[in-house]
Amino acid sequence: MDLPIIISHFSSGSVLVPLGIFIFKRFRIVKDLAPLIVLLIVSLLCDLSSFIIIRYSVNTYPLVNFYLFTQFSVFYYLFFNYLKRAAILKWIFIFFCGFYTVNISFFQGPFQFNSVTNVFASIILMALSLYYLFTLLKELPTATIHRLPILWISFAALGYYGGNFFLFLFSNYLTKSIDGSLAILWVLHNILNVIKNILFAIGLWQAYHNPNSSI
Amino acid sequence: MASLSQPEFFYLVLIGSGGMLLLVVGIATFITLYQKRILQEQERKRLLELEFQQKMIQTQLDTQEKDSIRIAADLHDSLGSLLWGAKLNAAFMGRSFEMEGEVKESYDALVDILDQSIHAVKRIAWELTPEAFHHSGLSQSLATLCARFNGKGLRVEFNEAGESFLWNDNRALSVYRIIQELVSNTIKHSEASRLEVDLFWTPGILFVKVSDNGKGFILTEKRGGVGWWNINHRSKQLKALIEIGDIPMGQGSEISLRIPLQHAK
Amino acid sequence: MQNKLKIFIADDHTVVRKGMSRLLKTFKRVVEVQEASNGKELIQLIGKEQPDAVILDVEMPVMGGLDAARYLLEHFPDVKILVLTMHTEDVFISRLMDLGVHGFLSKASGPEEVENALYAIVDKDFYKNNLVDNALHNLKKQPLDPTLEKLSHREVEVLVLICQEHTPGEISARLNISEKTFFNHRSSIIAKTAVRNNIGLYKFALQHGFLA
Repeated sequence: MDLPIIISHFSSGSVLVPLGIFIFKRFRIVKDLAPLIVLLIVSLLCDLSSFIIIRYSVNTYPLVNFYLFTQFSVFYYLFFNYLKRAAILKWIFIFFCGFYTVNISFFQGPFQFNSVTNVFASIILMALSLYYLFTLLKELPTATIHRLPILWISFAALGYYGGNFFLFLFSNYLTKSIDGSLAILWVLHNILNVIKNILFAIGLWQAYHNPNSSI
Repeated sequence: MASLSQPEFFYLVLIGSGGMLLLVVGIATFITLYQKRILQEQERKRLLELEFQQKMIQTQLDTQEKDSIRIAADLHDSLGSLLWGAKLNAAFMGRSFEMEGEVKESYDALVDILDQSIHAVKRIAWELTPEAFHHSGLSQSLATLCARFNGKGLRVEFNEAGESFLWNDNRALSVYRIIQELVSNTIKHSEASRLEVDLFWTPGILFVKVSDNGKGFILTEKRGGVGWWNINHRSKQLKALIEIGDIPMGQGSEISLRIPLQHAK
Repeated sequence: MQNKLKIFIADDHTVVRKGMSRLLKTFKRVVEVQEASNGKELIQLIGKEQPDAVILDVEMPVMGGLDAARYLLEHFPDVKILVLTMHTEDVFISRLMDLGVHGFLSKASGPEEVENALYAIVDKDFYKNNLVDNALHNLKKQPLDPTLEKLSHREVEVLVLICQEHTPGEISARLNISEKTFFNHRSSIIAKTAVRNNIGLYKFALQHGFLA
């Protein structure tokens, strides 16, 4: 088997790590992190379905676009909660949804990778996670910061979207002009995905073991 | 999916591991930074708390001092004066009537009780706050204190050596309070027959020794009392060193104080 | 010797005032007693008629004994002042003594003491008791101030007799001088020693070793 394929499987399988913890903890849901569990399940289902439909040479991009939107919403919702549900965040989300709808309906369409909206999603989530980390440094809510699940989720968001920002930004250009670049793109994305899932797993683990540590 | 060429593979590894490294370094930096700030914050809070505590103690001691002065003044001015008024009226009656037998005895007892009451008021007031401490200074006030306790089966001696001077500020009053507390502790608990208060003045440092021949400090002291709270906090404020020791074989106790004089003379 | 003394009392406690007033009326030489509840009232009273002596409480509201004494000594130097106080510490006594107050009594004294003190300040200008002695016993002996004019032999005699608590009558009789001459000597001594009254003279004599 080819290396990109292995990494792709690896990436798809990595979601099983946090999900495994969830199962290991007998499907108990930590209150704040319910959206995360939803995301993990959606991720698993999407990967499984794309695994199936790719055999019938059907375009998987609608699935990818759907998945990325779900992921954005989940991250956004988590930060929204932890940032005390600031009103402006609501408006940004509504605005983004409008933008997304317009893009998927009139510009890039569902059958190709929605790079424009995803670049914006990356910027928004990077900003949110950085802002959240900054508030942590300012407010110093706990002496044992590594026990805070949202800290690991922030790192996941930062790492994942920070890396993907460039990938999304150049994706359309690269895939059109350079041969084989699509493969590199997806390999990098998959690596980021693995890292994200591992960080999720750490966060989830902390959430189960320090039930009082969420702020 | 197309397979990768070698340079492509190389860049992939480079970018992948570079990004990973960046993330790890980022996380580590963040956590380190966070811990440092936490420690700083804790230190700041600790200092604040310490300061607050010091202030509380200071306030408490000040309030004590103020209360003593107020109560003493009240005793003098109200109770003392009223008793004096009673005595004057009694004196008038004594001069107006010829009294005989039991009536006379009762009258004499009344006058005697009034006298004793007046003296008790004066004594209590004086113990609460030594009159004119700021005028007499530490040595003089201590000498008076010792003289007052002298007698009644207890010999209280006051000695001083070295270059003494009129030390009469609030720190001096604190020293006086400590010694007063020690002396009254000894009198109350130690069953001593001799008590000695020694001052030794050196430039910059005053040495105080309070010693007795009672049953020893360890046997006499319940260290939790208000008295000890006072002694401890006052000596802390004075930056004084307090040393408590028993003379071996139950031959009494000895308490030494080493008090820095801030502006000697 | 005056035998009809008019005494004023100042004290903020009515019971004390009334009691003192009653007691004073049992003294043979006292014929009139008036009361004031504070220094201000006392000064108003004295503005109308002058007593031979006032008995002053130190702790009073409105105008305390100290201020009242200061005022009286300045404006009515002939009125003798007997201070009654709970505060018998040396420092307070010395301070009042330096002010020029004529006598002190602790608020624990018996009626005889009050009577004696009253007569002493009227007859001899000062009342010497243990309060005065205690206040003065720490006094350091000093050499005479060279700027002061030297006392004559006769004046020293007079000074010593005053300090031994003799009345002017007794002193003039003993020295074979008229009372008028005695008072001349006394005012000359007071001028030379720069003190206010006999209690000041007593302090001066002690301080400079005139009394053995």
